[in-house]
Amino acid sequence: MPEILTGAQLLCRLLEEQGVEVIFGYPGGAIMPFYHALPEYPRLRHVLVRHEQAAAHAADGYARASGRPGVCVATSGPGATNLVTGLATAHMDSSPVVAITGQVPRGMIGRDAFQETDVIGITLPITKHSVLVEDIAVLASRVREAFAIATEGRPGPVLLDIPKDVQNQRIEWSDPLSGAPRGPGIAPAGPAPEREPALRQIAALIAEAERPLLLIGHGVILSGAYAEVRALAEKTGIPVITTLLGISAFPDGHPLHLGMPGMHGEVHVNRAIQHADLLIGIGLRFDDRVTGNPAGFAPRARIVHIDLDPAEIGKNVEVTVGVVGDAKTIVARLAALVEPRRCDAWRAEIQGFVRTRQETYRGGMAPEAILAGIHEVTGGRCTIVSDVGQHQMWVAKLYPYVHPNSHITSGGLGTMGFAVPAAMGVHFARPDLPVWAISGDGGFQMNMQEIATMVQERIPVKMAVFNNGYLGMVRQWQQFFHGRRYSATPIWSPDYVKLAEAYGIAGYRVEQARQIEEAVARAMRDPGPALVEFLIEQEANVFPMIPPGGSLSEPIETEPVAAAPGQ
Amino acid sequence: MAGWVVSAVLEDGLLALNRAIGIIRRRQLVLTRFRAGPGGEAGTAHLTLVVEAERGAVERLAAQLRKMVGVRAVAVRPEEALALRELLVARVAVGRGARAALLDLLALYNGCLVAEAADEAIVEASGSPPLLTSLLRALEPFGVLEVARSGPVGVTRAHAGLPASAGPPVDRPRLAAASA
Repeated sequence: MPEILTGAQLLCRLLEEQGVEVIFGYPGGAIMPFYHALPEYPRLRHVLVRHEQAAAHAADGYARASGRPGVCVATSGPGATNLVTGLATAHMDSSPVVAITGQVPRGMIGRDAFQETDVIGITLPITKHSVLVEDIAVLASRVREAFAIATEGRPGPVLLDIPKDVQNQRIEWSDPLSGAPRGPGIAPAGPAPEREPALRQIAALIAEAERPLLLIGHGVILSGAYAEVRALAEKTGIPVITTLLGISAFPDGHPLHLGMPGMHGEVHVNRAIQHADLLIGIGLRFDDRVTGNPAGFAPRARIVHIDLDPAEIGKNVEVTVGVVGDAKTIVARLAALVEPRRCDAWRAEIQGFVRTRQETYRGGMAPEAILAGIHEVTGGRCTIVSDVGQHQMWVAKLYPYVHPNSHITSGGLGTMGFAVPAAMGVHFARPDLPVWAISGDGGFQMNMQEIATMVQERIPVKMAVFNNGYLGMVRQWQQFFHGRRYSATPIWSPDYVKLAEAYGIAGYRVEQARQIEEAVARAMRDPGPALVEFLIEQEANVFPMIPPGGSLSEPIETEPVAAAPGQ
Repeated sequence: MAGWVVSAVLEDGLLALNRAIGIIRRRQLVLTRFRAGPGGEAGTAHLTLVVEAERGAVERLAAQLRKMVGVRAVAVRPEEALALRELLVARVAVGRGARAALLDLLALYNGCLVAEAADEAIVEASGSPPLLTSLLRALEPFGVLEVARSGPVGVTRAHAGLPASAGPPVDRPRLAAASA
C-alpha cells in the first residue's frame, strides 16, 4: 500500500533499512525537516554532539569498531564545514562514514544564501564520493549508493548533501523496505584463477627467502584476516611487523610479533626491515611514516604487496609482485600454497638487534606503567582509542594488545582531538566493552567539550589525559631539530579534576606510579564517564626516532647534545 | 620527457569531471594539452590529457582515476601511438592585398576560410597539435585577432601496441580500453 512520505521521512526509513542504529549529529536550519521526522523513527538513536567535528569522529570510531558504516549529520554551512576534519580523517584511514548534510533550498543554491557552502566542492578530495541529492525521486538510490560505496572495496567516507526543500518534498512510496542492509558485498567468493600465478610466485619467494618479514596494516583489520595472517606466519615462521593501524591485527605477545616499524618503530623492527630480503606487505600503503626515506627503505628486500586498492600497488615503493584483492581471501590461499618452513636463524639475528633503554621518570610515571595499569585493571578487555602525539606512540608500542581491532587511532591524517569523540562511537559499536580514550593535554583540549555529550547521552567512556604541559611531540621535534626553541608548545591546562566535577563526572589526578591502578580501578567502577589525569614527565621523549625524511637505518636513540635550529 | 595520452571515460556530468580534475591537479603533472567532451556512448564524457612525465607517474595518475566513483575506463598510451587531431579556428586581419597570401597559406595547411569581412577573415584548420601550432605562427604576420583550439581528440593507430610495462607485474583486472 503506497504511502506519502516526506524526503526527511524517507531518509529515516532508508537509514533504518541500511541497519543504522546510531546517528551522531547536530541540528540547524537546513537539516530541520530531518530532525522533525527523526522522533517518528525511534530505532535511530541520535546522539547530540557539542561540535560537528566530534560527530564525524564518533561515526568514524563506530565504523572502525563495528565494521559497519558510521553516520553523522550536520546542517549546511558551518555545520557541514565542521565535519571536514572528521571526513578527511576517515578518508585517510579508509573508514566507512556516511555524512548527511542539509543544504539550502535548491532555488537558493549558488546565491550565497545564509549558511550556504559548496560542501560537495569542499569535500571532493577528502571523500570517496560526495553527491547532491537533487530531487526526492533519486533520494532512495542516492542513499543506498552512499552506503554501498562507503563499504565496498576499500572503505571510505561518502557525503550526501540534501537541500532543505528536497527533505520537504513528498513522494508516494511503496518500496518494500526490509531491515536488512542493501548494497553489494565486497569480498569475492574465492581467489580469482588469474591470481594463482602471482600467489605461486609469492610462495616461491617465501620458500627461497632467508630473511622474510610480514608487514601487516589496516587492511588486515578491515577484512578480518586475523586467523589467515596468523596461519601464514605460523606455517612459515616469518616474523610479523604491524603498522600503526595494523596494531592488534596480530597478538602482541605472540613469539613471531616484532612490533611497529617506521619513525618511532623500535630499533630491532626497523633494522629487521633493512636486513630483510623479502617483505610481504598485506593491507598497508607503505606511507612515509613507515618507510622513512623510500630510497633507503628495505634496500636488500624484494617487496610483495597485497592490497585491495590497485592504486596503492607500487605507489610508494617498488614491488616485485603486487596482488589486488581482499586480504582474507588472498592470505588464506597463500597460506595454503606455501610450504611449511622455519626462520629460526633469522629470528635469532633480529633478536640480536634488540636494544634496551633505561629511562627514568618523575614519580615513576613511565608511560609503560600507566598503560600496564590500564591493562591490568581492564584485563585487556577494552578498546584503546588514542589521540595524536607522543602518547599515541607510547600507546601503540607499550600496551599489550591481544584482541583483534582493540586499538583505534587516527593514523594517516594524525588528527589531534580524535580520541574522545571517536571513543564515543566505539562505545555504541561495543556497548558491553569498556572504552579508554587516551589523549595528551593538547589533543584532549581540542574536543573535551564532548564530555557534555557523554553526560547527556550516558556514554561511559573512560578518559585518560597524559599531561606534560607541552604539545609534547612538537616540543620533541623542537628539541631535536630546532635548537630547543620551544615556540608555542608550552600549553596550560585547566584543573582536570575540577573540570570533571563541573561536568558532574568522576575525575582523578595521578602523580605517582603507585596511584595508577587505584585511579584506573575507581574510574572503571564508576558507571558513567570518568576522567583520569596522569601528570607525566614534562620533557620525556619518544625513542627511538627516525628523523623526518631519514633512513630507517639511522635512528636517534638518545637526546641530541646540540642541534642547529631549522635543521 | 615522453608525452603520454591519458584517456578517461567518465559518467557525464560536472561532478565526475570536477573530481577527476581534482585528482589530476593534486599530482602536479605537466599537462601540455587537455580536452573534455562528449563520450562515445550516451551518458558519458571523455577526458583526454596529454601529460609530460615519467611513465610511472602517469600510471599512478591512471590508477587513482580508475578507482574514482564515476570513472568507467582509463587508458594510458604513448603520444605516438595515437593519431591526435585538433581543430583550430582563428580570426585574422587581412590587410590590403593579403587575401591571396592567406589563401595560399591555408592551402598549405589544408585549412579553409569560414567567413570574410572587408579587413578580416575567420579561418579553420584541423590536424595534429604541432601542425596547428605551426599554422598559428605562420598566421602571425597577418595579425591574429582571436584564436580558439578544441584540444586534442584521437584514436589508436593500427599496430601501435603499448611498449612493455615499466611498472611491476600487477595482477589486476583489465579494464576496457578507452579511445582518446
